[in-house]
Amino acid sequence: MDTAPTHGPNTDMLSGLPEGVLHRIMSFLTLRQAVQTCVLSHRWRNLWRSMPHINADYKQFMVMGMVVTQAGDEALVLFKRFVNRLLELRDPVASMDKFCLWYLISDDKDDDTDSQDDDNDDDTDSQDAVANRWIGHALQKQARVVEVDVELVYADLKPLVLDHSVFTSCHLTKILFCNVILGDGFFKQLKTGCPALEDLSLDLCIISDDEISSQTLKVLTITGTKFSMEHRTSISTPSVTSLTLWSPDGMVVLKDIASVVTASVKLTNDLVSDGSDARGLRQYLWTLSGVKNLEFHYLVTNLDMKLTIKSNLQLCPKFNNLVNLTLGQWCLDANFYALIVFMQNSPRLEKLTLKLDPFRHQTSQRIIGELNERSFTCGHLKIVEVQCSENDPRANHVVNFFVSTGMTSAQIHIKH
Amino acid sequence: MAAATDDAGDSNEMIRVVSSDGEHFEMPEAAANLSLVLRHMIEDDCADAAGIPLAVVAAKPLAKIVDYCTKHAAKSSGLTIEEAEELKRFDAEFIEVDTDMLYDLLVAADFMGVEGLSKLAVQRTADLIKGKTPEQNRETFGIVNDFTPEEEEEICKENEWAFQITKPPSRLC
Repeated sequence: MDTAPTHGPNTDMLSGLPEGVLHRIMSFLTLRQAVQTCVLSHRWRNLWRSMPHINADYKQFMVMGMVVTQAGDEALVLFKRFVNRLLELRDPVASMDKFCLWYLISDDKDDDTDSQDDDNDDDTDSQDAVANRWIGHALQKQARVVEVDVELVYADLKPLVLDHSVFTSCHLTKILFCNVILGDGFFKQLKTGCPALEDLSLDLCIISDDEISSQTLKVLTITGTKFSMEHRTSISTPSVTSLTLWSPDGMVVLKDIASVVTASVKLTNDLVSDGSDARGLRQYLWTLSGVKNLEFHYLVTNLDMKLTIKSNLQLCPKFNNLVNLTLGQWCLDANFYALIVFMQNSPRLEKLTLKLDPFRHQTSQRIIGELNERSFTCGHLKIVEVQCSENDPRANHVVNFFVSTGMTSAQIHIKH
Repeated sequence: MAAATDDAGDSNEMIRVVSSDGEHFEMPEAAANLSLVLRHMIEDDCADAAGIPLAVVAAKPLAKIVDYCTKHAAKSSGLTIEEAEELKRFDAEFIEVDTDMLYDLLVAADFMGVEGLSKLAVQRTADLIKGKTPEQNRETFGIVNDFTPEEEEEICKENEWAFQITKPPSRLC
């Protein structure tokens, strides 16, 4: 490099940067401003046409000072026109690396006459069709990452119905969807059409398939998602090492998750089999027997529904690999029933974290059961961390409990 | 200093680097590892007492980069919330530099493969561009408008769609 450090105020600095750096700078601008750099100079004129990272966010098109619903509609019209143009005028040989879409659903699709003749008119295409077309375009351009985050103007509007026929790509490695409906056949399409997919994250989605199965997925995150009420949904992802399943709404069976190292599971009582039967809970725990790091919560929506654990039911398997364990307050119920069972079955445990809900001090019991054998030895346990609000009386109970098993109070940390 | 090549991993070895203008710098191995280029050199046993030469990085930006890497390497794993916030403050102060230095950091971080710093400098540059007119941006970064009036008119016309709503294109070119 010519090392003349005096750039001076009139020396063009940015334009000398490698294209990759300029593209990265543009990815931090709004989409509109990124395109607008074309007027700066020759160097910049066509840079936007090959931007590999497209952040299409309808919020950048909101006009300030308008009622939200109206502003949303206006923004959507401008947004759709803009993105359509951008994709149309992009360099046809430039590949796309990442396509992130923040979309808004503002109308009731059932009233929509979807089959408009003039497909070319952007504004009369259904909202779903537009988004699906863009996603398809990104996949055709070899996008590695596709993120789709949908907001609904009214909570009762139907989320984006994804057209899964476009999901054929050997480049796609990561998907992130929020507020999206994945209709029949979606997961089959992913399995056959996207052989490089490793990371799938679904938040607030609706799944109708009865099987989620993939040989390639390594990270699977499903939060706040609805499953079919008519059948069980099985998850068979033998290569997944990191699994997050929070509050699945529906009956989910973990079938083949043999490679999972780290798992975070939150279950709600009315959805674990029949609520009052601990066998559903047991089934989850047994499929997770190989994990090294586990966070497990059992939440209660209906306090009248109590979980009865029969004395001959082996709630936990032997967690022979378990090193880090995090449990919610449910483990303190019925005289520390679940906590003791976990301790008895985790011979390699080094760190235990208890997250106690600050809003439910009273120990309303979620579990009914009695343990015949309450002793345990956890030779490797070094740290117990209790996360709770200040003045939570349960913290002291936990400290006393562990001190009575031979731990020193220096090993027990309380965090507020 | 002995050759910093014996032990891989968490050694306390110091790594020497030499700027394009011949100045020597030292940083812990963990700090040097934040640079992809330096890490590969260390792995290939190229780090010796003479120092790794960095042909395209001058002393001024290199001093900053050594500072950045040393700070970030010291606080890499298991950050508490306070430490993370402190690091964020450090970053914010660190990148408050003039456009000359910003340019040097963009080039050097990209060349040395220091991902965190690269992102920081890119984000800072984008923040400087945001919300400004093309003319203001030309001024900040010394970009010369090398279009002929005819070209300018053509560009404004073909990209009119991207300028609608915010401001009429005639005022922007």
